[in-house]
Amino acid sequence: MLLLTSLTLTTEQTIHTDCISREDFESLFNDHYSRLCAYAYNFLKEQEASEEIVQEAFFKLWIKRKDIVIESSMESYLYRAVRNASLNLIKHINIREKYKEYNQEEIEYDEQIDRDPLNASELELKIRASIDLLPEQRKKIFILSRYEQLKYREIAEHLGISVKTVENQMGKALKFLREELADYLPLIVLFFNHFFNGE
Amino acid sequence: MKSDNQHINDTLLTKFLLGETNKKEQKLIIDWLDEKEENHKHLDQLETVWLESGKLKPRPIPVNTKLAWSILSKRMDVHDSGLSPSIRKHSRFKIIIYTSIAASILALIGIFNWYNDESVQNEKFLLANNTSETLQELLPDGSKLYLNRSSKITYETTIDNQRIVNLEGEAFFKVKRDTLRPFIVNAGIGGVKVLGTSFQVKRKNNGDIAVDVNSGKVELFRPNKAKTDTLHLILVKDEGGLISNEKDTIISVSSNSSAFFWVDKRLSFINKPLKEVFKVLEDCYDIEIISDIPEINKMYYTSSFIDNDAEEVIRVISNTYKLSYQKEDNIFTIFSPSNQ
Repeated sequence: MLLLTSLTLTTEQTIHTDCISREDFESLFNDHYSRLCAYAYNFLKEQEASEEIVQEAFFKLWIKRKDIVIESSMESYLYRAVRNASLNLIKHINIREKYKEYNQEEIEYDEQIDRDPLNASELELKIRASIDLLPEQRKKIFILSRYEQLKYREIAEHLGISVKTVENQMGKALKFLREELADYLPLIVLFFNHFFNGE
Repeated sequence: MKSDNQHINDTLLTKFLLGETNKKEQKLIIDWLDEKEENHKHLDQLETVWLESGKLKPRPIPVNTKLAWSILSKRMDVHDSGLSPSIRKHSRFKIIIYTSIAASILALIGIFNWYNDESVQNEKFLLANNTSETLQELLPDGSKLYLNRSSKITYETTIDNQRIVNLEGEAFFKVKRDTLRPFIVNAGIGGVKVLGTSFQVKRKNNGDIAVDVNSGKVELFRPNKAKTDTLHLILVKDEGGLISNEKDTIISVSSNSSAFFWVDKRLSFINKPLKEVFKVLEDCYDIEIISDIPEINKMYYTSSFIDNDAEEVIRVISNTYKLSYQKEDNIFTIFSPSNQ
């Protein structure tokens, strides 16, 4: 039997993955797919490659589920698998030379801080899950605005839609996130707590 | 939320937060904020959401989890049903090195036509391969094209931002990823839609369309005869599909190990019955193989070749099994020495 160990966790707990059901596996996938893709994207800067690596990691976990014993958790196994696959890809593919250069500093930096992506706060998880719930187009617009820092006009040009549409979609996206996160907001903005109970 | 000012809503507030409002709108909002303390809180909440979402690390990317799951679960099904026991070893990034082809490009006499309409949007591109070699070219969007002999394509970008290729014959595409501009290959009765991947399409003389996927995923489509509905089939790496002219359907087929031979001159056999190996060689090199080997049904061959000619391959195989061969024009006769 192949034994996979996790560096971050020292618990003696082991998980036998051979009994995982299809349903459990699907919800594991749904919970972690977008976050793992984002994690791989961090290294690779290419969405398609990132998605492929993550799918591969899930696929391998599924087909090897009877042969592996995972210490710690399946999540940390997946994160390690995705990270190693991403780094291997960068290291070994000369064709991607430009990415390598481009990412080198960032990778070193990331390795230094190596913030365990599993240690995300509950709020972070909630925000991420809420973003995942946005309809596809709205999610794309929101991500372009929030994480690519594009102006409305730039997004409109990029997606071939009107500025008005971008405006509306962004409004709806933020409104949705505000509603989804309503329970968490008082914790962040303690001060405003009592104002919104009635809303 | 209630406000005396009907114009203030989350859309406008979001616009304000992102610095997209004009002076007039800004004034409206400032007045509105002054109306009530609650209004202030409302904006603060939106702002908090905006700021907190910006702290996510790694930053989210726009993935489609549902689609991804459907692709993965299909792979799992295939695996679980035992059709594909092997783990895919090769990452799609193992990009094949195309050497010989590049060198021969200069010698090619392709009809090659470039013209731009007034708008950059509508670039048109036509390429026909009348040579006996594979033609390699970049499309205007940066996608790579390998055009097999006696094949022809046109390429254009439509106003609604689609990259459209019309194909006659056989072509291999390495599509430059651009999620905002789908890449569509029409090949008569149906076609293939992709975002960024590599695959080949062969439009056969009988109207059938054969597709083999080298990396990523593609979607085959085929409007039914009445044009009332369109059939779809998603294929991933190493899968193949056939859009049948006669049957009005799309069939999933296993991809042939030598499907990409004409592109990369690479052959790979894994435990393949020798008989079938010969068949593949016949197709790839346009040769005939006559074999007289009593034990042939018990022979399974594993090896790979890159850029070897037919005789080199046959010599290697013959050595492996201690066979002899004779070559006459395009006909190889392979036999066991003991049999003579």
